Amino acid sequence: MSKSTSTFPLSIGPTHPAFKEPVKFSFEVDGEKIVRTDMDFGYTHRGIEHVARERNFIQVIYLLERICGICSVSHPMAYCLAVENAAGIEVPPRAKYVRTIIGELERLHSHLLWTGVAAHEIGFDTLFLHTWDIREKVMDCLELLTGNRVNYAMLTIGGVRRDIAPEHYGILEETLDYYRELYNRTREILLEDLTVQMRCRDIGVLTYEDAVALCAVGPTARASGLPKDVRIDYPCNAYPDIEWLRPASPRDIGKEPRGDVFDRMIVRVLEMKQSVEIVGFCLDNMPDGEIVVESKAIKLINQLKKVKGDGLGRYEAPRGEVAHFDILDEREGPAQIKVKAPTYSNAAAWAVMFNGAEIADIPIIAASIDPCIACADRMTVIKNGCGGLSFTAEELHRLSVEKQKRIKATCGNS
Amino acid sequence: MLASVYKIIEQFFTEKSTNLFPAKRKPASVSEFLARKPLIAPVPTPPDYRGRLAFDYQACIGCAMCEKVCPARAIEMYPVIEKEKRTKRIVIYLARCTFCSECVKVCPRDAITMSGDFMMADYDRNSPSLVVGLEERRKNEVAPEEKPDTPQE
Ligand code: SF4
Ligand code: SF4
Repeated sequence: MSKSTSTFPLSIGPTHPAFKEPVKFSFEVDGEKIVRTDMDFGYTHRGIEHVARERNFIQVIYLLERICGICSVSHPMAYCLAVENAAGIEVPPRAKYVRTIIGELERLHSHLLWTGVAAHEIGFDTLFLHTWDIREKVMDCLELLTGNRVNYAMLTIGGVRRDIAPEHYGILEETLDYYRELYNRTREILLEDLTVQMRCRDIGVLTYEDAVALCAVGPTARASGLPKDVRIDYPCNAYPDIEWLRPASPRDIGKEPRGDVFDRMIVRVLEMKQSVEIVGFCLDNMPDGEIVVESKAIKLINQLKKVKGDGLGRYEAPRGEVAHFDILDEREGPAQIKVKAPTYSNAAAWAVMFNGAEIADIPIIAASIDPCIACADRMTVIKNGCGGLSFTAEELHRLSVEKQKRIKATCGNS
Repeated sequence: MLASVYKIIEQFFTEKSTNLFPAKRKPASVSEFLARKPLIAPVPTPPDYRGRLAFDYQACIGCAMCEKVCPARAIEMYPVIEKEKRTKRIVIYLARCTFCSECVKVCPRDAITMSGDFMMADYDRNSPSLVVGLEERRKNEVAPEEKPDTPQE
């Protein structure tokens, strides 16, 4: 890096009070303006993929739940879909609906949490406490349905572990009504209040073209006008039955998408409403029947032990697309597992968003993609004890091809 | 704008769900002081809440299925002699447990159950209150079986 007289480097992180998780930003600033951004990840690498290879199929579900505390249903969902895909297990219809309900309640609480965090980042702490207060209702609901407040331990391969009992319907409906009632008021505070707009309009812009080029996913992509949603593009669970479901877009409330932080707020507010309606739909159309193909864990492991093959599971987490690729190789657990978290796709967009922004806007721009760094940290390079290694795209491609060959060799010819 | 003001005013009249710090100065006896002052109770847990585990020593048959499925490896087996036969029993380290209830479901004898108790904080992760089945272990554990000699390399 050459020294310049007009700009100077500003380093934020790896741990910094403005961020919830460790990530290192190296900015090049010209006065208050950011002219160049570089990022460094890997401070929360936990080796989950490696640990997963040492565990059996059932244990892996709970391990993957802990990749992300907020999307704690999305990761096991993608994993279960991948294993079901590989083993050719058909999930009973009722289980699909229960999965959808849990997934959408999770999206609702995650978006409410994000709204609170965003409000906090712009210094609007009253709103932060207000949204987190609202959020308690859905947390209680999840606790009632699953028995846990976070990390619900609800999914299993081939179904779900707990049914939605008749006495739960009333409470669920009540919760939905509570949110339907609150929607207008919350929307007014979030989308019409000048305080929020002043800090979020035209900040951290990601244009449509950039969103396409950088493969943004989830609300970040939708706020840039990209109609991209795994729930609609590759529907799983109950989503194929919901015909009215469309990717949320600022156009829904008559605003042309600009791809700024405020648009991301709009998309998330609209998605909260969507989630409430989806849960309502699922409750009204809940099919009867079994909730799981094989409820005995040991039997299930023994069944999966005979399977050879691979499967891909894709699911729309609150932050965007999560994809899991699993290879089964006649073992008690997955022979290989690859996790792609939404932040991994969205982090590249940061570089564009930060350009031209001011230093004071760094926290809200960083928070606007709803980052989950721990989800995205899948690799750390340590060589002779010194860091600072970098790879080009070609090198990474070559390394991954090599790794794939190595895995194929250890897994026979699956 | 109005919505925010409305919300703030509303806040003055809602019931409190947290406790303010109850005393200005340290009272002579903390427990007596707390007994006098009614505190707002924690939110009740729903039925089927996944809380503290309980283990029924008599019901267990030592099949080790719970040990196999436990994702946190929180379950440890130890040898015992029951009805003049060598078998095994378990202890559960709650400090490691993730409260997934996989062990509860897998157990053929329903020897493990879950309760609504969630107040488990302790200073020591191995303290007796955090190891389920520790008392039985102290009473019944026997020396592990002698392994047949393996040829030395
Ligand atoms: S609840 Fe889950 S983590 Fe806890 S002991 Fe049972 S199987 Fe292990
Ligand atoms: S599964 Fe039940 S019976 Fe078997 S060892 Fe565990 S507690 Fe005992």
